[in-house]
Amino acid sequence: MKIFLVRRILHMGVNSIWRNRLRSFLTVLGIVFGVCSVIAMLAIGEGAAHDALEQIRELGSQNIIVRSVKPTDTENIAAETTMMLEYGLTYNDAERIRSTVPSVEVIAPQRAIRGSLQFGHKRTEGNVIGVVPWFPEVAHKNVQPGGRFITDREMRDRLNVCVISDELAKQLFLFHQPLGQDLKVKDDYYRIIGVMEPEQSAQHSKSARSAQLNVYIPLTAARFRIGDILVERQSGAQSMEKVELHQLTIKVHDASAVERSAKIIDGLLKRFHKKQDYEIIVPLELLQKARRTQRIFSIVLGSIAAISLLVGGIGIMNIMLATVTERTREIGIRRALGAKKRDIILQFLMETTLLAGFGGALGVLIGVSIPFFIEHFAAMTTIIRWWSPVGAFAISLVIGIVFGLYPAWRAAQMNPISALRHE
Amino acid sequence: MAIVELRNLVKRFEIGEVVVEALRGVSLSIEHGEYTAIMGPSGSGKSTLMNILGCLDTPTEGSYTLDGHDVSSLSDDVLSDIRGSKIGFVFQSFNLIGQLSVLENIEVPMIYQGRGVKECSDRAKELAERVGMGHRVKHLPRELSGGEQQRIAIARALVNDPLIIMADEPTGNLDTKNGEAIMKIFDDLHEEGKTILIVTHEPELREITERVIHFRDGLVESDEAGGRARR
Ligand SMILES: Nc1ncnc2c1ncn2[C@@H]1O[C@H](COP(=O)(O)OP(=O)(O)O)[C@@H](O)[C@H]1O
Ligand SMILES: [Mg+2]
Repeated sequence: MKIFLVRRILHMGVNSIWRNRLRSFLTVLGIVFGVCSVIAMLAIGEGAAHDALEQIRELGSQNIIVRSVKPTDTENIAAETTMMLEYGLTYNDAERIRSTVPSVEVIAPQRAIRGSLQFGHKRTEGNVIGVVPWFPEVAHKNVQPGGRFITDREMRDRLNVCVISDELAKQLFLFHQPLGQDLKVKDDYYRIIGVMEPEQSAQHSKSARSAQLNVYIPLTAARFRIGDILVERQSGAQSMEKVELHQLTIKVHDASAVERSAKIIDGLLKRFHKKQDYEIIVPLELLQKARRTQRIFSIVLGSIAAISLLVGGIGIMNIMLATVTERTREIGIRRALGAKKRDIILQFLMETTLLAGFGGALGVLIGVSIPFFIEHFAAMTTIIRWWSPVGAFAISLVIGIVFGLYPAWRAAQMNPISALRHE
Repeated sequence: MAIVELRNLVKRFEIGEVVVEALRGVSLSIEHGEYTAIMGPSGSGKSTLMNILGCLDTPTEGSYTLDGHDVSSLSDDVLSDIRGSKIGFVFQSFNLIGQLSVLENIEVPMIYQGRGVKECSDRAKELAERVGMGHRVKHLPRELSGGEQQRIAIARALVNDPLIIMADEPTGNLDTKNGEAIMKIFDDLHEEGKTILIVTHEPELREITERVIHFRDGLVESDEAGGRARR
């Protein structure tokens, strides 16, 4: 007997929503927007954080990166006098670090010059990077199957071989198999022996893509054919720079030794560099900083999300309050005809649960598809964690029920006669 | 045994500082099958009495025994059940639910008694026929005239076979012709043996009921046999 009653009351809830579909829809709009903005915001936040962390991780958490930087205070002098500016890391630096810092496992020096790259009549500007054979291991990069990286022998014999980045392969070798082809790098031809795997944190913007147009050649070949001196003509003046190495990627045997080793390396370099013409980057420290930033970011986003959901809930309550005032007579009639307080509450509970559930589901649907579009059209990484739609839906349900049920509960407490008199 | 037994019923309303004593010690009893009219000037406490009799409101003092049970001290849930099962209340302003069709409106009291879907709709149709509204069951209340709406309200009051039918000025919002048609229905119900208690201003009702109770200032002024009883 009781089961009939419950079923009929639930049915009444559904009917009531359907009879007032426009109002029902408007009621849940707040929840819909709340939920979908929460999901979209979290997805964008997670994506941005993920990209940042991934870029740092690619640098290697066991690595210390030392880069040559042009000392700022000598810039003017060099431009005026066309005398040669000599700065940055040297082969001696690399050797000193290798032989004196005990925690260093491997050290990968590299040289990077901008240069023209040509295949057939296709030309582009890219980074020509002189590297050592163990560069892939240290830099966490791999060669695509079919190709290989530079060998020790090729390094020793300064052979004209090169490995190109995936991005460059796509740009210059649209209709050709790049392996075995000769690529013109600056003034010399290099045989392509491998293509690198695409970057994991691949950026889709045009500028990011052009930064990934890389050619890796043996460091010895780079020194032999391109030299250490870089001549640059700028608005009539001619400037010359001598930089032996642009970067040292130093891998230490253990992540816990990273900070200490970085200090030792800094001290060592300071003794031989009068000017501050290098910088030390410790990816591990960056990673920790980025994690802290991400945590703050998440808290801020979470708060905004909570507020927008709350606003949605208040919207439901507002309309429910209006509805109940409007429907107080109905509640009075039902009470006069034998409905208990709990029957009334059950009916309204059904209505608000359905409304909030429908709103939450719609919000999840839209919220999950927004990041998809953002990823496609704005070329941003977005990540939807499983808990974001689940949590947003659950919260919308709770908020909808709490805010929606309170007015009904209040109306049910009324004396039937007062409810009937309600105008 | 009397269906309704009132003893020294007092009802006071407090509005801020002012206390209005709407019923000032009413005692009366109504027997099974009686057809009773309550009359009296406006503000004399008729509706207040009907609301208490209909278990829509509770008395301030005194006792009310319905069908042998003292209802003046029952819980809200039990009172709800009594309203649904033992009392059929007809209001002056019809009080149909605007969103529901005629048939659904008639079904409402049965739903809260936990009766099955088929049973509800069969019985609702039967009663719609009974009040001459069988052809309008799919309509919404606003598509009906006042007289038609009141017929539906009467059908609704009858669905659970109540012990007593109470009507508070059921013809108050109707023109004479419709009012007479409604009174005819009550008359027929009485013929079938139903117990009916009706508040009215219409003097002719004095002629058709068995008993007329006159109210004045919250007290029973007179309680006499009506035209039907004298006949
Ligand atoms: N809910 C209420 N609050 C305050 N006063 C009321 C209330 N209901 C009725 N009254 C007062 O009680 C008296 C009797 O009213 P009522 O029973 O409606 O009279 P009748 O139905 O005979 O016209 C009136 O003075 C009225 O103002
Ligand atoms: Mg009245």
